Amino acid sequence: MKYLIEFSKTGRLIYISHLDLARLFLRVLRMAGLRPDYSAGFNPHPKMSFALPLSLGFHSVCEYLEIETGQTAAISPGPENGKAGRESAAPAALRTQTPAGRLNERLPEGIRVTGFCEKPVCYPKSLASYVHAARYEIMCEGIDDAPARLAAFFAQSSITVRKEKHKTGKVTENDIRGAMLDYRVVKDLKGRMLAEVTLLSGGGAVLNPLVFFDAFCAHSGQVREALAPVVTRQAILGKDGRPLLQKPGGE
Amino acid sequence: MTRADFLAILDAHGAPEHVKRHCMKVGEVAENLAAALIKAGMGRLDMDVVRAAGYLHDIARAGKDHDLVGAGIVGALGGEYPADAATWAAAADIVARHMKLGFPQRVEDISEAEVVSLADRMVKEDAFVGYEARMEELLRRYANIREVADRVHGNMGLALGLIAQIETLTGKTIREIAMGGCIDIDPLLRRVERPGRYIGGEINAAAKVWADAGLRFCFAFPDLYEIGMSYTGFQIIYGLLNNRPDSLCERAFAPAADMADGLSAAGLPLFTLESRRPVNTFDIVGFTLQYELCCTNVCRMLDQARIPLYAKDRGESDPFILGGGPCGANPEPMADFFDLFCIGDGEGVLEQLADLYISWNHKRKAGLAIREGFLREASVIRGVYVPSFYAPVYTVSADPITGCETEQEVFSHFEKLWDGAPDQINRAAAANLDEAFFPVRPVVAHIESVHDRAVVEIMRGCYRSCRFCQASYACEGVRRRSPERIKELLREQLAHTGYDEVTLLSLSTGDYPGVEQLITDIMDELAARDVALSLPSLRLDSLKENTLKRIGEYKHSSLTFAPEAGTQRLRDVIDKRITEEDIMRALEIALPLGFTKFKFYFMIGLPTETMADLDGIAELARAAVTKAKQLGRERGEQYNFHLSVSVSNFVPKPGTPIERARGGGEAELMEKIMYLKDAIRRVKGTSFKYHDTRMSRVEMLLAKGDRRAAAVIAQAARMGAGFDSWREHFRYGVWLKAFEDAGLPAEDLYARADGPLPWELIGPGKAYGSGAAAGAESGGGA
Repeated sequence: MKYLIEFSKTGRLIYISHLDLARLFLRVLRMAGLRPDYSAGFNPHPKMSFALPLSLGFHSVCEYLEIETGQTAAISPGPENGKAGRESAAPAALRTQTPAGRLNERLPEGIRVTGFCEKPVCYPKSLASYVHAARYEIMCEGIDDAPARLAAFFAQSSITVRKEKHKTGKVTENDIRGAMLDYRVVKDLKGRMLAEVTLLSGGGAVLNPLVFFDAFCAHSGQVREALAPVVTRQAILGKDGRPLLQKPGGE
Repeated sequence: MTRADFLAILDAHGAPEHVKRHCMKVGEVAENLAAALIKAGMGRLDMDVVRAAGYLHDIARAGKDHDLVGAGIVGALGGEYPADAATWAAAADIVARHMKLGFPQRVEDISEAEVVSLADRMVKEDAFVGYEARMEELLRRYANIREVADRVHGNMGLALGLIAQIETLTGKTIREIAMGGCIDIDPLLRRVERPGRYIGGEINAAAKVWADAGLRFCFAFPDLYEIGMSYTGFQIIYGLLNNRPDSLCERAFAPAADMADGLSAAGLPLFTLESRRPVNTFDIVGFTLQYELCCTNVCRMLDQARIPLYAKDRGESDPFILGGGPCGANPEPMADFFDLFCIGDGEGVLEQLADLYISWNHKRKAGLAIREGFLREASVIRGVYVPSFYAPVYTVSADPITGCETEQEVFSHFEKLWDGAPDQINRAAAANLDEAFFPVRPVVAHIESVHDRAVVEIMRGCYRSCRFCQASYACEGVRRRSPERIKELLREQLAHTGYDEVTLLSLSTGDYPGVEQLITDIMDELAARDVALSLPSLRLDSLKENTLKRIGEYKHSSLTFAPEAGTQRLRDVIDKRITEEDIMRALEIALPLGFTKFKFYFMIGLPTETMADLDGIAELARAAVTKAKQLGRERGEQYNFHLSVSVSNFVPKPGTPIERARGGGEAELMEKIMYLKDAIRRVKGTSFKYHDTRMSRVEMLLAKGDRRAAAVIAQAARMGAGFDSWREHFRYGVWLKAFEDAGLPAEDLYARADGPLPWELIGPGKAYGSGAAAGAESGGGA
């Protein structure tokens, strides 16, 4: 069976990397009696994947992890001496609590499971393949007239970003304008930027909010080094522009 | 109500992320402020009300009229938690008024509401910035809203006056109070590499209440997080102390260069991962000394923690600095930096030290001097060494060849400075491993560490008696854990960590009596759980065919031999009981089972070594390759055989029968390595690895040093040495200069057939099967 786990990543835990998070989840799933199945082959790996990796240092309230597990006896709380019998891999104590509750009990403060469900049939492929964009809240002290600056930034038809490769030092140029889908000023405050931006995050083209922010600073004449933006991922969006798993009415 | 409960309430009412972060910070500051005021005598403040109002004050900030809406929500919580109805009502009242509250003139008139309000006005988003900075920002932001500006100006004088009174009353700065003794490293975390090293909060990490602990112990590891987290001794100490209701143990690791620079630039001290408290606010700081080259990191960490480097300079307000680990076989080079050492197994000693400290703690709290008294009582615990009770006396040495006196002074004897101190330091030993503490909830590292797996120690000590090895001689014989207890510990560790790999820890797992049965049983049990058993560096010479077959069924890891020397003659000299026939026979068994990667470990620079012994290493490698080919021909198979020959430099270690041997010079060792490298290159199917001879040289000088070596170590650290066990950080020139500056020759002064040794206070161990081997043979070195 395939399941989706919705969770948030905040607090100190924003400082662990995507790979560390994957390791953490694998361990917590195993502890909670929800061990993912392993792939066959020379190097078996657990069948679990994230909808969209989150960079180290960002908060998020909308992460998705999908897993495939045969430990279904552990999913639905049932009678302790029920039909599952001796075959059940989950100890009795595990079956008296919801999966989300069991995970939260073992997860460190900062990672919190906010939903656990069977993977909807409308997503036959991996969840990652349905991701089109992501919406981020960027909050930053020390920026005046954020609305005007954002409007001017978005008004450009092309925005070239130079990127130096870490090892080779090779410089590539990239136009990010097409990946900047939308923005909204959440609150117009003096000396502070509090805005949401929607950035392309699917189909092989992912625009990191910090790349966006660097380019924004360069355009608005801000000294990037003096700023410490706090980035929170608010939603992962599908092609229809709606958050994944939040289905339009009627479906 | 815990912090997590308040967070859940904020969550349930849809507070956005940045609002939650702000509320949690204000709650924390308000709590710390109230605690400081209550401690200073304002007992009428109700902490529960402060907490509820603080953590929830902006619960409705996402919408309009958030003060009134929020008050409604908080008031309604009384329905969910009826027992605390009065608390919720009081908190709701504060939430309703928190935007427009003024301040009283005198600190005596402060109520819960003003505590929360003051906290709110010192916190910007989720960071403590102080009242003035926060108000300046408000004025800048709302400059054209007169009402706001007037209110800020009207309150400013009263608030600042109140803060001044609070600072006088508590004797602390408002920032210190607000942080509750913790330091703020968040701005640094955004800038450093691998910040996961510094955040704590892992699975099974402790979160004990500071105020409740009679002993606050900081476990300090003088290397990076990912190295220290793989050290099983840490897990034992951490679990043991945190299991005690009267103690807490937190961790500090050596920060990498970027974090160290960041701390120093921000004026912040070294901190613990759990509560982010400065290390120098702990009662005892225990360093583990796993290898000699970590010594400069100890100096660095003491400096970063703002603890005086030399024990003699520490006062009543400084922590006790405790050392332990393998380097305890000769604690003298580091003795000046430590108040006390634990020699031998730490479990029992730590329990006794914890009891002892707690019995003295009330005196320390009452402002009485306890340093000397505590150390005296500690020094009579078996396994405790208090260096300051012994003063080394030096004498001019005689030239070993001519017998003439030289100018160089060497160690002669110790003079006791306190009569009650023991004449000899006997090792502490855990007699029974089944009864000794072993953690079932080890802390699971956040970032990939050297060994990410469940670990159970199956045996302590070694059945072998290789004459160069501290593990055999500086140890209390062999102690085993029973198979039942091992399996029980493994099961529990897996249930509490979620690891998918386990390993068995000992010096030579193949020597565990009944190892075949143990491995078979464990593998049967693990297979059902999708957990792998990893047996790294399995010494082949002790494994039988059935076990190898079993291991080979699912994983063909490399197999290791440690012949240590190239000829039987030299192997006999060091009492390494492996013959060429043993190795060839093991190859015959292992190759057909699918093992094709092998490692041979050798040492060069051993006493009595000649070029023939070096040739022997290459010949043994060639014989193994030839054997593999021959086996392949006989069985009509083509083995993908690969042999890695790894050569380390012999370093004579205190406590071993050849402790008086002379280690090779770095140039001489390098010549031998080059000779070997060339010889091994001619053998097809092999690769060659070797150790830095200059690092080995410094390791030897530190291992065999006397108490004067502290000056060298301190000087090297001052000149920037650190992380010396990392090849990329090791700077030989600094060390040579440090010896010169300290006025000591960079020579082994104790490579001599007789005469006192600086580590003579440390009693001999009990090597297995050789009686008082270490003591009886120690005169017979090269």
